[in-house]
Amino acid sequence: MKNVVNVLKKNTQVKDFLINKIETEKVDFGINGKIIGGPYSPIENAINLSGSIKILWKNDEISTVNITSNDFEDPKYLLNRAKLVSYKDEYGKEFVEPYNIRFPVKQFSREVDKIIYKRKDYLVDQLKQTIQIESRVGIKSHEAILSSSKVKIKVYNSKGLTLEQKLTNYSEGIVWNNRFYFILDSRQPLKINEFKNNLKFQGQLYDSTNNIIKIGKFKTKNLKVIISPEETYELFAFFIYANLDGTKIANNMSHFHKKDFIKRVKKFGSWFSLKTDPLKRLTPGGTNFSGEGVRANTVTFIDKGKLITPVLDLKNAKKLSMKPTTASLNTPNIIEYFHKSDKDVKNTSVYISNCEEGIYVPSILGLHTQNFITGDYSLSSPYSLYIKDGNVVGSVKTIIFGNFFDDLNKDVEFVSNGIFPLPGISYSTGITLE
Amino acid sequence: MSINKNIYEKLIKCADQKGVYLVIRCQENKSRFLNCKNKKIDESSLVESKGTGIQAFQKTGHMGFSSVDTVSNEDRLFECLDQAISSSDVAKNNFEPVKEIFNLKPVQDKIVDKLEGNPFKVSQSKLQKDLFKIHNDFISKYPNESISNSVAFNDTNWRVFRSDKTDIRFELIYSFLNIYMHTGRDSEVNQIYENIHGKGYNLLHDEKKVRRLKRRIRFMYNLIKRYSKADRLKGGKYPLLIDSEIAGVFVHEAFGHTAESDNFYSDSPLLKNGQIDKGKKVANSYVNVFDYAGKEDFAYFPYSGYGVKRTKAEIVKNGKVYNLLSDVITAKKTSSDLTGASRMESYSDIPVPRMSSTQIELDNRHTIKLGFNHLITDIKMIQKVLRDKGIFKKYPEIIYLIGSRGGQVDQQKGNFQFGSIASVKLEEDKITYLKPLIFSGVTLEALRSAELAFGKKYTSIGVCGKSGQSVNVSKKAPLILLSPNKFITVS
Repeated sequence: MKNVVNVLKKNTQVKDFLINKIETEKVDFGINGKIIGGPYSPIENAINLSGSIKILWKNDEISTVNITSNDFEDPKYLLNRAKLVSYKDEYGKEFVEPYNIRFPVKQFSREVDKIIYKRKDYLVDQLKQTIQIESRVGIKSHEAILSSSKVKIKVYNSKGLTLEQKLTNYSEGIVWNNRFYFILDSRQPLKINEFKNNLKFQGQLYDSTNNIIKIGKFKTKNLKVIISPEETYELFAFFIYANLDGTKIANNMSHFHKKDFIKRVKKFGSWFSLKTDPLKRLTPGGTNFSGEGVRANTVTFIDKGKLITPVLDLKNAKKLSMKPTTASLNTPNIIEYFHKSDKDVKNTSVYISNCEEGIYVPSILGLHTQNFITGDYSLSSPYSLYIKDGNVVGSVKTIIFGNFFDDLNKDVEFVSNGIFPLPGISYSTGITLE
Repeated sequence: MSINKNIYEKLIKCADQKGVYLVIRCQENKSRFLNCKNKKIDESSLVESKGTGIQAFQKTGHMGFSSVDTVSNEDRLFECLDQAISSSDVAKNNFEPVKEIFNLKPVQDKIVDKLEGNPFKVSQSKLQKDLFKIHNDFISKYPNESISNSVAFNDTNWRVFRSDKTDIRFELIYSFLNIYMHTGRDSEVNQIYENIHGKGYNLLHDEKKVRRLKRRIRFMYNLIKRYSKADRLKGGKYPLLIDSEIAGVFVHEAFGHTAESDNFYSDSPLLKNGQIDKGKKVANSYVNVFDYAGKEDFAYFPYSGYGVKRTKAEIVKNGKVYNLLSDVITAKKTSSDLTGASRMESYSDIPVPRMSSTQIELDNRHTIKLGFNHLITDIKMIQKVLRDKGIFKKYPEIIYLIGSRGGQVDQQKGNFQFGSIASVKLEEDKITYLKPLIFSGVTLEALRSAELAFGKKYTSIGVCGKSGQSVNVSKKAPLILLSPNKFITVS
């Protein structure tokens, strides 16, 4: 990075600059059908360098350019390229003043580092155990991907800010015949066996999807619709997090408007608070600073139904006259949907056993085809499970429909599957049998 | 292309001495992007990247893969080779071998494409001026809406080496200009997304294409403007008229994905016990579905990631399952013809069977010619054609779905859902505007409902994601009438 810094410092046209350098090393592989490490999921090793550079030129134009390893070999060419695409941007000229992080939060595991270089057998064992657990619950066709990576991030700017951190990631994604899916994510190696009891219950639910039943119509008018934790996260990401994106708000392309945040308008039921805490130790999504060098902090986006702040980078924070927020909302592990003191999270099996009539929705199709701004949705769930008097009776095809913003104003309950870090929701919404 | 063949020959020689067979993919990519939102530049970039992916096959067929972001650093490339070989060693004790690769015949080929106007030499001020000319025109026509326009240019060079002396290079060039419009307020908000594509900078000066984009936007805008007063349709089974965009997404999601031969490892409605269910009737005998992209196509990819020439894949021929989108790994396993369909997004990805340009057509006897472009012409013209052909006598109410919001299919059982941007109910002498609809159902059953086609096939382009990789795809379809079907629900 030194050679890039030197070239930037020597260039008389450069006023300020920021370099965000990311070095990644990873190994991943998976299961396809019955095969571990088959032709479409072999052991893959990758080493690459990426990142970005932002330059404020003396003529007041800015350039933001993605960088690759080749750019570090030829920084003069990088500078010429950046100059070619410079443009006027009155809000994009912000740089963070220097500061020190006295007690950085640890996000690095030596064990993951070892797996990448010397312990691929650990991954093989984990995949074998995954197959064993799945076979016990009746899964015949297996699909999973395991990934271990380590990332070294350096942020440097011309004002003297110098930040560095190392992160590791270990994740396992599992799909059961496009009906159920699970994501295990950690900064440290995970042991799939620790999830076997929770997967066993999910296996019982999965087994019920093979028992297709016919029901004329639902008995209750407002029956409970229970959405799996994984799909709940997707619904929140699509309808809520997308609309909290600062770029969209700054350009009038969101459900929410700048004035809603300034006036702290209440848009949701009081139970709904949305917070991220990137300073959680050894937690995916956790970080000490953003790619722009902004110090990480806990952020409350929605408090008891009231809008507090969008997700803001430096540019959009300036444009909206608000503070930058560091953390994004794309990692469930650092998110909280509500104040734990205000709501209970029930175990899915307990919740189902107390449910008079309801539908469990393990997965939905075509979320991206919906209108994320109005919140209107109509979603097909081909493997819904019908619950009657506390028992899962069998599988029905359903379409759930409503308005997600209105739905979150109703009484919502929470269910956990013990696998995903966030709970699923149970609520009343429109539902028809397909 | 700055690739030094000597280095790669050294890698192959080194692997050969260890009894290891290599497939090497090198990529050099250059892309430029500019976005403006509501009269201001919001993003501008110029990226150049290079890299190498090495697949190492032991004699037993056990394989490992490694990638590194260089095409010239010999030390790093040899390190990458070591990683690939060491992974193939681990595979030896555990995984399924892949021997089909050894049966391929060596190929040498070079396919060069040409930029129609070099976007990498154009000054920023000229690029901004040209994009703003189009952007400002949209802003002036729709002053109350939020509008974003982007233009992107891409030039990618691929080179595939194999241990059998195969050396293939091909170049992929494309550009696109898109518009995203956010219309209305609060509960009446809707979005329109449309694009045009070309082969270089000249796209910004292609008046015919830009005019077509403007006309399509005007057509869609006039429809969704009625959104606030539109009726809600009661969910149910209806005869459907789906426009080229939706028909294209339907054929892509429903037949393209289910025809990918890597479904051998999971399941697909087109497979029976892992083999292609050739001859299975899935549509009326006048319906054909195939996948092929010519050099001018946005989704052009002439060779597979393993260096096999890509050929036309006839997925449904005369209403019956005929072939798959297959690659060297699973063509034989699924008893389908090898169509060289594997693609990868970048050098660091493993190739998987993918679509290019997926197309549906009905024979001449079942295609009604139109004297107009149905993507941009007043709906009354379509209503008139339906009336003239006596179609309302059979179906007094037809739901017309216009503009695609995309879709999703469960490849194993064929359950699908697609979304429309606008919808109308057509009757003999009445047009009723509806809130946007989705239609969902089961793919193989749905294709049986394809009854009539109208007009020419029109192309829509996009990006398709699978296995964490995004690749360019296109879809070509006419306007299609689907008869009511208990397996298709509109809601």
